[in-house]
Amino acid sequence: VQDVPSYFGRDLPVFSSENFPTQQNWGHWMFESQYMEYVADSEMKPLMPHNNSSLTFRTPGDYHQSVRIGGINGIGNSLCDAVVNAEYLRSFTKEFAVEWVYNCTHNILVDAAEAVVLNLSGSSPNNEKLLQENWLAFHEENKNNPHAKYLQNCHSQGAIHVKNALEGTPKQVRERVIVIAVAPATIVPSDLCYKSYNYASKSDLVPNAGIYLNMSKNIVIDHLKSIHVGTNKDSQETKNLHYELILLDPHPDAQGIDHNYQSRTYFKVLLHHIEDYLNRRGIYND
Amino acid sequence: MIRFLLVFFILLSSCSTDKISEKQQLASKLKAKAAKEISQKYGLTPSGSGGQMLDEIKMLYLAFECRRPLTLDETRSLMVHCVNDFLITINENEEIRPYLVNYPFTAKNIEMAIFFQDCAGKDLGNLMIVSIDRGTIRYKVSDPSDFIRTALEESFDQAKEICK
Repeated sequence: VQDVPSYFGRDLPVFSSENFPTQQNWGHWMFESQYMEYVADSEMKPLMPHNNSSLTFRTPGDYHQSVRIGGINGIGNSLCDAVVNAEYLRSFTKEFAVEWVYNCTHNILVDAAEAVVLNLSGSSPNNEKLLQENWLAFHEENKNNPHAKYLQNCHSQGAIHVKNALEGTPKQVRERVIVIAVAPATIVPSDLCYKSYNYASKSDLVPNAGIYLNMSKNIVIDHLKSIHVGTNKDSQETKNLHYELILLDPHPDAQGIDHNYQSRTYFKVLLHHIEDYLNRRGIYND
Repeated sequence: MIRFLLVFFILLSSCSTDKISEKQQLASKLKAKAAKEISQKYGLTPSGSGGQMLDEIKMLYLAFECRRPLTLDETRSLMVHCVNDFLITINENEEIRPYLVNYPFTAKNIEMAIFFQDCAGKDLGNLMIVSIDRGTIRYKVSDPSDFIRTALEESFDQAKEICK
């Protein structure tokens, strides 16, 4: 185990609660620029837009070639929220760093529309690329170690991005990925990667809504198809996948719809899977 | 409203649909059936599912929550019975058989975890999780310095012998 400043040959930014990144989007910058004209104080110029698209960062921590734990957040998360979630995940990993794909928010309504119209239909333009870069980098580093696996954690909309990214990834790279999907907006099927585990709380609307939306979409499409072809088989296929999602009872301390990544409902789940992964040092021979 | 819904669905229908493999469908259905049966029979709460089936079905996973404290012997017996019931459900199903990496499926093809906590979310004694993976049962206890540690490991066959 060693600390590698240039993280695995890539220069990922290192963020933590002691080193919170700043973030400025174009909308705020334009608003502040207008306002600043009236203030006419050159010292108070607004920050130029930066960190306003999806990006990969890592937490502080150690490096081991065959151990890589990644995460991706859902909708409505600022970069600081993503850093807090990455640090939470890191609290399970002992000394190891976590690399995190910050799934950039625009605002919660735009994010939700993006998830429904674009992501659930199989497209995740930026996030897909970032996830694939992480997996590919790990794959390249472990070319001589075919049994090394990447532990990919995902939350909410992040699960849709992981699923879409896996669908566009070569099999030899997908074979490297173990997915832990917490409160996922879609199921990550086990036939897309090395292993997948899906968990959701009964009081969480998002996984149910995501799955039923996908299901109803497919039913409509199948109905349209059946007008021409005379078959309505696929909607049943989608219904069957819903069985994959087994719902956890919410933890008594869980708040609201229990969709939070750091909900106590998922504490032992993360503990169990990460402990197992670390005990194996990321090596899975089976 | 109807117009809006029509436009909405037309938009969605222009996009691609999910294609779920028959293997995945069968496995999902089977896991749901087993989870329901096991939870009803042993008073457990189903809490998660998963698997390993990039090619053939190599492993199927189920997780449960147990809301009552158990002794070591009771925990062992519970795990052995749950795994046996899961295996029976899988091996009895003829549709899934062509997709299994080996038939009959054995305890080495099963992953299962039982998380122990009461209705208030508190740990039930020291035992936090019992799990089976590649035919080995692990009893995990809370550890103040390290969250969790494996207190005991035994093979499924050993556990079965002890339970006889």
